[in-house]
Amino acid sequence: MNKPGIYIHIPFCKEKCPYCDFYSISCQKQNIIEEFIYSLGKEIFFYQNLGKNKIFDTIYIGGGSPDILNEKQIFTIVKNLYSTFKFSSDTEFTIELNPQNITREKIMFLKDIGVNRISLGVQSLDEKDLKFLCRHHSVLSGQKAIEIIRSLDMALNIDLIYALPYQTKKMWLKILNDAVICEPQHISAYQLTIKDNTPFGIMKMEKSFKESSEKKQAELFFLTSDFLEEKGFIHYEVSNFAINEKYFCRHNMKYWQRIFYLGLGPSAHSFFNEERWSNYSDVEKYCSLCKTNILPMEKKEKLTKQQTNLEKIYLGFRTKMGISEKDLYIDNTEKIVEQLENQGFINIINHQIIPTKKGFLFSGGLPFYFI
Amino acid sequence: MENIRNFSIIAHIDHGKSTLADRIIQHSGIIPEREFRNQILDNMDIERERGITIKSQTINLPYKAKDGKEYLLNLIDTPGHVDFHYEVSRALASCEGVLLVIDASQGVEAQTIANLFVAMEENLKIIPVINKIDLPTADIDKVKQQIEKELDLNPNDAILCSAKEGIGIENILEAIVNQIPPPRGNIDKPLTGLVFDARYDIFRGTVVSCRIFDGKIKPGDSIIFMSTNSKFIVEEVGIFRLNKVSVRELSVGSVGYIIAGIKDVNEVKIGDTITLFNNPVSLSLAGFRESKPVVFSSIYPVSSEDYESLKDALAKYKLNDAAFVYQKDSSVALGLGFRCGFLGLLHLEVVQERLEKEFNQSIIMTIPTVQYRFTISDGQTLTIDNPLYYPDPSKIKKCEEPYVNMTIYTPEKYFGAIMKMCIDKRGINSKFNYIRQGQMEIHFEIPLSEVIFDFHDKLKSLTQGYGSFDYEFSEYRESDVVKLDILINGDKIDALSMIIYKENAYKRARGVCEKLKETIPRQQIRIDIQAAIGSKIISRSTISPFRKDVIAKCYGGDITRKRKLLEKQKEGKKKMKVVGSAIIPQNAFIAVLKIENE
Ligand SMILES: Nc1nc2c(ncn2[C@@H]2O[C@H](COP(=O)(O)OP(=O)(O)OP(=O)(O)O)[C@@H](O)[C@H]2O)c(=O)[nH]1
Ligand code: SF4
Ligand SMILES: [Mg+2]
Repeated sequence: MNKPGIYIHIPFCKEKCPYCDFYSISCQKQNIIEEFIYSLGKEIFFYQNLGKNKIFDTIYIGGGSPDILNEKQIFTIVKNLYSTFKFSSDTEFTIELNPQNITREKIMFLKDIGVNRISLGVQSLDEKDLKFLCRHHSVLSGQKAIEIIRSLDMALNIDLIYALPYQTKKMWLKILNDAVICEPQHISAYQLTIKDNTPFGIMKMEKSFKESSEKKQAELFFLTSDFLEEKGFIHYEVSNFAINEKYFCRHNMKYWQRIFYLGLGPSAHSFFNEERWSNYSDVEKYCSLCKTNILPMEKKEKLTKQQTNLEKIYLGFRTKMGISEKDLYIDNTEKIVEQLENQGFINIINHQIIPTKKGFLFSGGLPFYFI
Repeated sequence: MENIRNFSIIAHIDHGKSTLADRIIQHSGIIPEREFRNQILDNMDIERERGITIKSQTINLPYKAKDGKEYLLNLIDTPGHVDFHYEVSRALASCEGVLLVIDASQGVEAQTIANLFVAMEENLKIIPVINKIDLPTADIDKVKQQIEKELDLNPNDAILCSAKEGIGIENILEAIVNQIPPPRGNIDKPLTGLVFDARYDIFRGTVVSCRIFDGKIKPGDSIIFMSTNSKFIVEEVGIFRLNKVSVRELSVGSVGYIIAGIKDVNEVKIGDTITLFNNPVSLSLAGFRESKPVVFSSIYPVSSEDYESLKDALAKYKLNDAAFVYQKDSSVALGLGFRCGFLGLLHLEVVQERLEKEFNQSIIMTIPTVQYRFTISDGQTLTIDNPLYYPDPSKIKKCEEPYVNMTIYTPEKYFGAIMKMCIDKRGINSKFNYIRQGQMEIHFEIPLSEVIFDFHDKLKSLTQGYGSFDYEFSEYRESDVVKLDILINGDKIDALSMIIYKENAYKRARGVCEKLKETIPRQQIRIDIQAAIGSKIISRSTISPFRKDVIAKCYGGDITRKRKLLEKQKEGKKKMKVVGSAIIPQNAFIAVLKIENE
């Protein structure tokens, strides 16, 4: 059976990046962070019953910026996890880090407490891009961080953002190439998407920011996929590439394949037994609830059969595993399936609908045909 | 029974029937003055909005005549518009006489004659009433001449009246009691009642309007409807005042309503005969002639989930509008629906509006069409009112379409514009004359298909609302028509097919292609829109596909956000139709159906 995973959300960043709409606050006040660590400990404890008779096989500490935490704080979290839940011996344990302040010692410490995969927020290997994205690290610090992680034999993912407004195919190709040279086992390449209520979003509304064209974005998407495939990567999810199946991000796969996971920390999402719930996106509220022994849960819903069907469809369009034909629940889809296959959006292999590269590019819209 | 008088008020449209009814009702004193409003019997919203009567309406009134006796009058106000002529014929089946109202300034018109004929066929006593004598343009002598020459009635019998000013009302009431005979029939014979109208009430079931020809009926009686042979126990009987008033019994000669717990509307047929279960009559009454629709269109629910609800609404609606006919229909593009027949364009609009407002239905109607007549190579004649059944073009030897005699009333300054429209719409043999200073009447012959398209809107806009029109069927004439199909990515959208005059086809094809391009959103796949006659494409447009979708990250396992979005889209999809792989919003269909023939 597929084992569940655990996600921990660290809701702090040094400064908010202008494109980011994840929940985090820019805060480095130790007392608040300490209070959060303490509250998180309580939340972990709340779920000890849920964890009974279960063996987890992934931990993912993300955010926000987990590197805001010091070693002691990380240790406390991990200790709480280990003492409350059971984990399989091959647990995939990922932590998200930014390139700045990465030292050999820090990585060794993480390795010692069980972390075996680092997701590095490199975002770009071009100084101009980093400035544009208001990132507080340099290309060099990125490369150094990669070197340290690789030398300590940790699995490495690097996050890259592309389709910046001025970016040309050539510029992006160079970044991709430089990234591949560093030999990460995994690359997540996201297009810069402009969300409302972010500084970029507001600039876009005021027309002082222009996204690159649909055409350009599509071209860069195919370029990315073609290039990385040529270099031996498997394009296994819309934005994710790995050198082989062993390095698919086991934790993220749980999201796409509807395997159970427990999310802890503000704004974290959980999924168990066809129930989804999420926590308040508010550190203060989160802490005060946990401290008074109340679950910091904001919403919880039991999925209806219909909702389950719907999820299978749209999650299926995101990965190479695709959707089983028997999961198509509306009538008369034969003709649509046939047309989409003819037009190169999908392939049908053993009654499984597998999105093509082009299909990935349209993974947002294709589900509409099947709901 | 000797003191009952059943009569209808009939006339051409706008000659003042409902206003005359108002005065007679006021005279009876049954409604307090402060509760009174003009055209009080026109109680449907759509009647009040448009200022015309659409449904016949019965009201029971007491009258103390000069002979000192108390009479009970059943007055039926009828519509004057030709589209509701059927309402008149049903009303007259319950009457012994009519007031034939003639506008003193307009004189005898088409529906004056048409309605008179129905009254004569029913052997009813006819009392001519010359109304609106208060108007400065009233020409009583001319109208009297017309009564003699055109109607073959005695002009000396005509009563002068101004319904508006309340002049001549007493005379009319006296004529009603003195000239119209009391109902005949025998109270001791088995019950014979004619169902002439019905209405569905959610609490009481079907409320049947009925004229008793023999016998009597009271609560507790077991009755049967002779055509459906279904049996019910009478719960309540009553008469129509402004509202229903229950009475102990309805006996021979009277007009009233019956409630008998009839939940299934299909048990009641307008024109059916009611009799007693234990003591039935052997022969049922003649009933009504079937109405003959001239305009046809299909009705679909906006959301296919609402099909059953629409079906139910139509059955209930039909009870209250016997002229409306419908049968099941289905379309690849729009799913299950109904093919409907109407007596004219106004009738179609009324049905549409009442279904929407009174029955809360969201519906799509396809392009109205007339009945074409095709002679095919083996000599057979086919009558086609649905593009779906258009015959094989290679076998068509001759096609004919219905023409009407059109009359337009307009201030003279719009004459030029109207003549131009008349020519654009294939009008021929035009004639015109002045009906009074500055006011013209234009006559021409025109295909009905041009009238049902956008004639009304166009005339109103050309004449700033002052023009009005009236038409009657004349004959079928040879014509050159084609079937125009609309295809999306190669799939024929049957609901958009139309039979159209060949020369109009190109313009319309272009219009439809453009409209669809405007209203169908861009999608993942390319959308080719084509308009074709047979296999020949005569117009096309293309909607280019998206190049990509927004690629959202489902970060931290937040699946819900995207799911909520899809749930919303799914909700929206109910208002869309999937044709092949193209998704077409309903409003695209609606937009096309509304295109003007520019
Ligand atoms: N001057 C004048 N106007 C009248 C008279 N009777 C009716 N009218 C007007 O004529 C118009 C039509 O009157 P209605 O009573 O609605 O006519 P109708 O025959 O019931 O019309 P339909 O039901 O649509 O066929 C209204 O504007 C009335 O006010 C009258 O005696 N004198
Ligand atoms: S560091 Fe990451 S989580 Fe924090 S603001 Fe930047 S992108 Fe968002
Ligand atoms: Mg009227």
